[in-house]
Amino acid sequence: MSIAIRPLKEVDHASWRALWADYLAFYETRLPKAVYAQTFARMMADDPREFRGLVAEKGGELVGLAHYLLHRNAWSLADSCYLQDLFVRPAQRGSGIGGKLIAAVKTAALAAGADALYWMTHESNTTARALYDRLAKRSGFIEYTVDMGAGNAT
Amino acid sequence: MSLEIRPLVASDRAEWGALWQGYLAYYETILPKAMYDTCFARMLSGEAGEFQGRMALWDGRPVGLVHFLFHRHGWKVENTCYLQDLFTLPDMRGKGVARAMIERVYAEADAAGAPSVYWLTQDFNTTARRLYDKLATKTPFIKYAR
Repeated sequence: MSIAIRPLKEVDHASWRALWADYLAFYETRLPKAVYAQTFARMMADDPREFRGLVAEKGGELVGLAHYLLHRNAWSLADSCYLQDLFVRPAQRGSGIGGKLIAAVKTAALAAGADALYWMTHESNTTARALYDRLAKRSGFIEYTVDMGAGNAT
Repeated sequence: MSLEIRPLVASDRAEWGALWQGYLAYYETILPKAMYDTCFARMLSGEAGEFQGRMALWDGRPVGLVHFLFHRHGWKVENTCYLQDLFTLPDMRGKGVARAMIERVYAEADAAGAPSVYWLTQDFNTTARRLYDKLATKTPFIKYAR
């Protein structure tokens, strides 16, 4: 069955929600309903400073997602693209869907004028890193964060 | 001896440029003059989605800079704050300038309603990490760039 990578659409709301919940569960994270609604609405806004979503569709079902954001980079005239979320349903892994989603994000970011694409991953996520080490360079940068209130770090 | 941290103003262009050049040299990076001009103009524009800059002055002498950006976070309703650049002149280190600049960014983030501030650093930058380990938490996240 062929895989289609395409922009997230309004009609995907329920399927997207289920996928994102599974992704967040990997990070042992639960988010309030209001964040789901807000994040989806922002991705539908077609605003250059909001996240955008891509989904992988197989046989009429969503099996993967990618959320990315273009933001300024003080070191460049062009924006950078931050790939925050990437998820493929466990049963669909190993067939290249993650790589296709990353490639589609790169294409979309280039089309939007970005000159860099980056993401962060948990150092213990060896499955994902096996893919990332083939597709990208480990930068040597680690992340520090300060959480000033309730909610999740990073 | 007095330390002041204040927003960049148009007349800081030359002093800010010298500080940023010193910072970029640490990363063995040379950027064209046009990029300095654009970056500075964007920071002074006051527009949402642009970096903001603060300069540290020690008895009136420019000794440090910090650049930060508010942007969306898919996991939160509020924005997050990305601290991209932080620099203190080498002869002014160990006096609390960097700590004061980071704490100023925390205050700016509080004022803007951004619950988190984050930054990236090279894992071998032990000097900077001694300070960061006091002011923040190292996450288990590492950065990949395509």
